[in-house]
Amino acid sequence: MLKLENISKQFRAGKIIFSSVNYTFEPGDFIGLIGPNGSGKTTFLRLLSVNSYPTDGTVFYNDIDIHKDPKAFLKHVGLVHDEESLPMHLSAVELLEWVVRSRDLWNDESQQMINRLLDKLSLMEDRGQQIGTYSTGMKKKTQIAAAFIIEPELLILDEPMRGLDASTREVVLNMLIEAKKGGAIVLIASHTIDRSADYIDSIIDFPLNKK
Amino acid sequence: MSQVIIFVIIIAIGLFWVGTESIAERVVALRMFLFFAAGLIAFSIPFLLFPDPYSSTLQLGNVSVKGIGKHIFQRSSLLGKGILLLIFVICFGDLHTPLANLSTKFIYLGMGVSTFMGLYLLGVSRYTRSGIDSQFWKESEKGREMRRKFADYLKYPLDPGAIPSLINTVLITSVGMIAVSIGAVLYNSFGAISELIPAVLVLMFGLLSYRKTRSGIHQYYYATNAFFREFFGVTIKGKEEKEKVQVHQLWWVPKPLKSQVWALLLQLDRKFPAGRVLLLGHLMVWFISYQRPGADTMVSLWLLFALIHHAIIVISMLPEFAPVWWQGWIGSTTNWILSRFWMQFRWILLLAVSVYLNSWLFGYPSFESQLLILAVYIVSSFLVSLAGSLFQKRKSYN
Repeated sequence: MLKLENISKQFRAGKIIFSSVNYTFEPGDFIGLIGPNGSGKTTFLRLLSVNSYPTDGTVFYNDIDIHKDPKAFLKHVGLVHDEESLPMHLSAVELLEWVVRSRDLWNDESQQMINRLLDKLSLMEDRGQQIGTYSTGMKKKTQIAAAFIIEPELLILDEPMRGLDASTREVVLNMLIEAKKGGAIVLIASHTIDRSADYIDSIIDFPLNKK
Repeated sequence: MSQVIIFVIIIAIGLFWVGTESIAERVVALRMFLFFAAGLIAFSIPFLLFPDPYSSTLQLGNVSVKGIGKHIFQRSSLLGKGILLLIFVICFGDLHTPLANLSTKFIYLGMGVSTFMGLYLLGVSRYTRSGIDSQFWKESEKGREMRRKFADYLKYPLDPGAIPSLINTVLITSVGMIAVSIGAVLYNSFGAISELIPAVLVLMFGLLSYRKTRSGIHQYYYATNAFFREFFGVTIKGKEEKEKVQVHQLWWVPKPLKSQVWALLLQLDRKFPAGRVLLLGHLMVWFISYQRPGADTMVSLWLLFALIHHAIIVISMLPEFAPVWWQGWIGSTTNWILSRFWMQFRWILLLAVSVYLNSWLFGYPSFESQLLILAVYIVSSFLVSLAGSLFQKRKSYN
């Protein structure tokens, strides 16, 4: 369970992004974040991925205060960041190996798992090239693969569909639905979300604290 | 702020090195440093300049020829300012007799600045111009033929696109070293003022080279940037794929740090020929040892060289190796501090053996000094890693 208690964020005195926000997300929840550019979606997700700290309030993942013990929290998290920045001098295969090894999950099956996941996302012969040579879409596919490879309990995704072709978007959406069915919490900010889709449990409209 | 800290460290290193030395020792120290600087400039300028992450911004603004020239110098200015500061400290950082031998100090300041500026201009000009030739060798039939010959006869996988950079590296290093050596010979026959002659010649060589580059710098810049971007992008197939560092080879790294150390070393090996640079450093130290400069100077030199190793830690902190958001997701700050620190153990055996053999042949550094050098290497590695990782963490969160 992910619980936000009285979360406030301001970049400087008077520049309030949101204040006293309270949410509780249960396993299997699929949450869409919708709103215009600059409305605070990315800041909200950065807060939940411990790339930003709240001005006030606490976020708990089960019993973990995520900003006090990021290591314990982040091992459960799959993350697609808003930027496509990734280590440039590794291939997609090596990057995924790094993610798996960093969580001490590497075993005899891991290499096959990586290849299967990259096959699914249609990252084909280029998977052995350095990420620095990838197109925006290929980098996004690599980020998505890195988020899914650890089979996370919580997926935080900021515009994961940006730069993807239509067929890959469908594949990613199916992967997200599968993750939800498996009990993962999915938090996704995307301009392509269908509000009325049956897999959506809740929509959070930004900006928050609208008057 | 970070620049100020770097400058304070440079001043401290300079004073620690020569603060209490006589003018004769300072002259030797300056020559030694310029020897090092020639190699450093030759290796580091292409790394600092290309590929340039700001090139798309420059294109968006359609920046003028003059603006591009200014941008290129700004990108390498920290190196330039750092070396010039150290030259100044070697000449004037005199804690015992600050006002003695002022004319000699000014002569050597002129010699140091001229040599450095000449090499710097030469490096910036030649590397900025190298893209067009490099592309020709990489993509032409002539280049393909050369690659085949190297592979068939010399059994060496040479990429012909790297030839112009290789020539530049050798040229700049050689010009610097030869100029310093000739200067020392002239000094023995004609006195201090004559040591300015080769330095001024190097400066003129650099200015001429820059003059040749200046008018077409926009064309050279875009061509070279495009080449380096493509060159470093491809490829990790074939021989390199087989020879890349494997996780199981890192037996010397504790398990919790292994994945980070592996990923950093793998990337560093592809981006930056650290092994070759350090080997060159060892050769230079050995070359200086051969001149028998004395025990104290050699200990200082080994200490300086030990500290220089940690530039690798600083390079590994660039976002292209691990963006800050990625670092946070992959491991804790403590884990990154320890990983970067442990990464440096890769070079310690070579350093220990080199210092030991050096001592065995030349009689110094003493055993205690050898231990001191290794201790400074280890402690400074930890401190650089600690300071850099904490600085990154502080910068990343808002």
